[in-house]
Amino acid sequence: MVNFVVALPCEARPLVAHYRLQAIRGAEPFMAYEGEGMALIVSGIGKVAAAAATAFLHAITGKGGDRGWINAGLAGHASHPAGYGVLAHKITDHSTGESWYPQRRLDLPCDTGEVLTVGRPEKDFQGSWVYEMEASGFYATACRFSTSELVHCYKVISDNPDVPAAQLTPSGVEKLMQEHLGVLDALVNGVASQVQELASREADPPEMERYLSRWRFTVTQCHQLRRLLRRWRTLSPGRPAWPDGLEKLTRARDVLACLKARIDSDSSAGRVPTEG
Amino acid sequence: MIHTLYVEEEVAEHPRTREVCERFPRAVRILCRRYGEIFNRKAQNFRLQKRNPALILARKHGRLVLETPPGYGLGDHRHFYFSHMLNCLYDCRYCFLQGMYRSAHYVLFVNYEDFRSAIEAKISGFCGETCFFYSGYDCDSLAFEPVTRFAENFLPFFAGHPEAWTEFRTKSTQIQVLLERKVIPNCVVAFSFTPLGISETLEHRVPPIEKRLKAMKELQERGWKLGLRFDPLIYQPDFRAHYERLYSDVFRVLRPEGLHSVSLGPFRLPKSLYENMYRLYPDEKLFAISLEERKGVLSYPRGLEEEVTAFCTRELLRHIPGDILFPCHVPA
Ligand code: SF4
Repeated sequence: MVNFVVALPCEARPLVAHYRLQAIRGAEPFMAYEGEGMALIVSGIGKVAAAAATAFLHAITGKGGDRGWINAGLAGHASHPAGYGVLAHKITDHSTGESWYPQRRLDLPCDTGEVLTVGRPEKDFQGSWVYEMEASGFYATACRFSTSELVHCYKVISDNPDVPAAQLTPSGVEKLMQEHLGVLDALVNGVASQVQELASREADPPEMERYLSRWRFTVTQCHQLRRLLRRWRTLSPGRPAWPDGLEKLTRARDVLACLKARIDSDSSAGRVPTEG
Repeated sequence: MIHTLYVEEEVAEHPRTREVCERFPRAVRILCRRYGEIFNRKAQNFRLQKRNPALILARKHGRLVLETPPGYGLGDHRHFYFSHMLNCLYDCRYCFLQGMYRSAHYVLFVNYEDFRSAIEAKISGFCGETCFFYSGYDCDSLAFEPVTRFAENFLPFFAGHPEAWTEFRTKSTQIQVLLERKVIPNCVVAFSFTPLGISETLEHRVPPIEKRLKAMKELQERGWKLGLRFDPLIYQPDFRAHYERLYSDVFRVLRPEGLHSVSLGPFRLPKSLYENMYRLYPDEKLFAISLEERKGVLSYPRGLEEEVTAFCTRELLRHIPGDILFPCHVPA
C-alpha cells in the first residue's frame, strides 16, 4: 500500500487519472481517493495542512503494518529549469531549523536534493534549496506511521527567477506533474516492493487461523502463538505445525505449552541445524 | 561502494573528512549538524538500510575510551575499548550491532587525534598496570582500512606506547598496512572464525576462511602477534565435526607457538538486542531455536552450552597450550 499526499487538486488530477483512483466518500474535510494498493489525499497548502492530511489518511486507510508514503508536488529553485524533478534527501523546516534525511534511493532516474519547507510563498530563491511548503509537516508525520525508508518527497520545479509562480495555471501544473509520472511509477514500485517485503515478514503464519478458530486466546497469548508458529515454520519447514495430542487439549495455555515443549525438544535434541 | 556521505558541519573541513570524501568523488555529500539526526532517529529499518548503507563522517564527543563489558578482555589486565567507527562492512547474522543500532549506516569518527589523547590519558592514569585497548568492538578493525586508514594512524601511536597493548579484531584480509611496516610487539591482530558451513550461512560478505588463514599466515611469517577468536560458538547437530575440521584447518596453516591468545565464548545476546534482531529476521534459524535467559542474557540452554564449550575447549587444547586459552565467561 502506498499513500500519496499532494497539496493541490491540480497536482492530484494526473495521479488520480494515472492510477485510476476513486473518490473516498465521507473523507471531508479533505478530498481523498483510493485504488488498487494506493490512496491519495489533497492536503491544501502548508506544512500544518500536510501533517493533518497525512494523519487523516493514515486513520481512514487502516492501521497496522508499514505503508509507503509519497509527498509529490511543485517547488521553486534558483537555477533548476521548470520541469526538473528532485527527490528529497534532506528536508529542513525553515521556521524551526529542524532537518530530516529521507533515505536516498538509487533505483530512480532522478537527482536528489535539499528541500526547504517555508511558511509562505517564496520568490527569492537562495543557494541550492528546493523551496516548497509541505514536506516537513508531511515527513515528520508519515515517519510516525512507517519506517523512514518508505517515506519520500518528490518535487517538480515549477518556478524559478525566469518563470515566476504567478505565471502558473492549473493546466500548466497538471502538465508538469504528468511529465513525471514515469519517475513516480518507479518510486511507487520500489516502495511498494519494500512494503510487501515487510508485510510478508510480519504476516501471520498460515496455521494461525486454525488455532484461533479452535481455542480462545487472549491478546498476549495470540502474540505468543504467532511467535511459536513462526519458530516452528523456520525450524521445521514443510512439517505441519500441529503436534500430536493437540486436539485433546482444551485450554489455550496448554496448547501454547505443548507447542513450546515440542520446539524446545526439537531444538535441543539436535534436529535443528543452523546451516542452510 | 558508498553513494551517500553525510558530513557533520563541524568536521566538514577536517583533513580526514576531505581525504574520505576524495575517495568517493561520485557520492552525494549531505551536510548535517550532528550524526544522531540520521543515525539515532526512530523509524528506521536496519535490514532495509543494510542493503545500501551510507557513510556518516562525524566527531566523537564525550567519553572516547571506555571499560570493556565484563567477559570481553583477556586475563586480569585493565581492558578498554574505543570505537572510531560504528557498524561494519560485513553482515554476520549473530552480530549484536544489528540489535543495538537503529541505523545500518556506517559512522566514522574522524577525530582520531582525540581518541589518541584519551588513550594516553588512560595509560598515564593507570601507570604501572597493563592496559589493553580494543578497537573492534563496534566495527571490524581492519575491514574498512582503505577508507578509514585507522590502522595506519594508530599503529605508530601504539609503537610509541610500548607499555600499552592494543588488539585489532577482524574478519578481513586487509593486512597490507601491517605488512608494510615493522612489527609492533604490543599489537595483537585477532581473527574470528566459525566453521565453514556456519560462516557461509551466517557471515555474509565476510572473506572465506582460507583467505583469512592465508592472511594470518603472512602476518605470522612477518612476526606479528596473532589472536584467534572462536566467539560466538554456534551450535548445530554435528558441531563436533565442524569445529574439529575448523581447528585442524587453522592449525595446519598457523604455528601455535606464534599465537598470542586464543579465546572462545558461547553464542549469547542481551535480551533487548535479541528482540530487535528477531524482529528484523524472524525467519532466521539462529533466533528461532530455543534459548534460555540468564541474568538478562539469552544463550543456549545450559547443558547444551556447556557441551559445546567443553568440546571446543578440549579440541583447542589438543593444538595449543592452556596458558594462551581464554574462555569468555557468561553470567551464570
Ligand atoms: S565482522 Fe564482527 S562487527 Fe562485522 S558484522 Fe561480523 S560480527 Fe559484526
